[in-house]
Amino acid sequence: MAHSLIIHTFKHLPNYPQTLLFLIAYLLYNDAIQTVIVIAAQFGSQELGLSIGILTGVILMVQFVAFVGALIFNFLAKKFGNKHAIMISLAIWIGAVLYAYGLLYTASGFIFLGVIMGLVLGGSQALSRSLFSLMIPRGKESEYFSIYEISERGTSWLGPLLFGLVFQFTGNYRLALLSLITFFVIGLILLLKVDTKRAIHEAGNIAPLTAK
Amino acid sequence: MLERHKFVTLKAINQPYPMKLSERVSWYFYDWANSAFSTTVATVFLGPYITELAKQHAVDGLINIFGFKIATGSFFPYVISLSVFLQVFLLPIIGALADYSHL
Repeated sequence: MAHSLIIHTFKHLPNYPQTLLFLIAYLLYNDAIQTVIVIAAQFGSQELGLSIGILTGVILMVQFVAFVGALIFNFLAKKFGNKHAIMISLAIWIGAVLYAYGLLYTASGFIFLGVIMGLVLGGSQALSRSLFSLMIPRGKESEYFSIYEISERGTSWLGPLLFGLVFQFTGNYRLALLSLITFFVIGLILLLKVDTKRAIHEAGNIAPLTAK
Repeated sequence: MLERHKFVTLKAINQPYPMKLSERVSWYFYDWANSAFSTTVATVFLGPYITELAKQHAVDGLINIFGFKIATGSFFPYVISLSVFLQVFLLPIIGALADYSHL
């Protein structure tokens, strides 16, 4: 029964092409974000030789920084609109991956990267969720949010697989991490193409001020 | 952080909106406890630990899993990839089981 309801919703999704485009963009960049989170500790310990003590400290710090980051991105979303705030966060993610590839060699560098990631983490995830909520028909929130979660699960094995394969063939953690930039860049380009106002209109909702 | 646990089941979809306070409080505490697990174990310890285990059993930087030669650093990402892939099939079934068994 759960399956048939989900299939039913999937069949209706092409009726909202802009929502579908946003979902695809989200799946790509979210996949990269999730992979970076899961792989960060392995990268820190294997490539940088950091102790578990430092890694634990950084992850703890990220939680507090993420709190501040969520407030900052709330402000950015009000000022520039939800979609543009997400795009800013993705640009910072791309910068962070490039930094980790070329410039990250020390514990202090890892802590710096933790601060940057913490700042954008809350922003990209919370804003994506709220933007999606505007693009779906009223009264069908649960149905469309199950699609959101299931599609996320359905594709987020790709990121770790890509990371694993690149390491398998190159033996280089930095290249493996750099490969994730593909997801960020394609996700960002697709997000750029999403017409937020049209998506909200198609779903029968009224655009709030933050939906620029 | 990974939010793997926030899977919407059929029960949640059909639930009349205002749930009982006690039910919501149980959910908050479940999430609070579960987040601590995913943040510490899954995010910090698992990657380095699994990779160290793989290295201990490696020959020339490769481990043999059912005939596949896997680079030690790739083992953990592969396992994560597989676990996420399996969730797509298992979670809806487990969700439906939970709904019908009133667990």
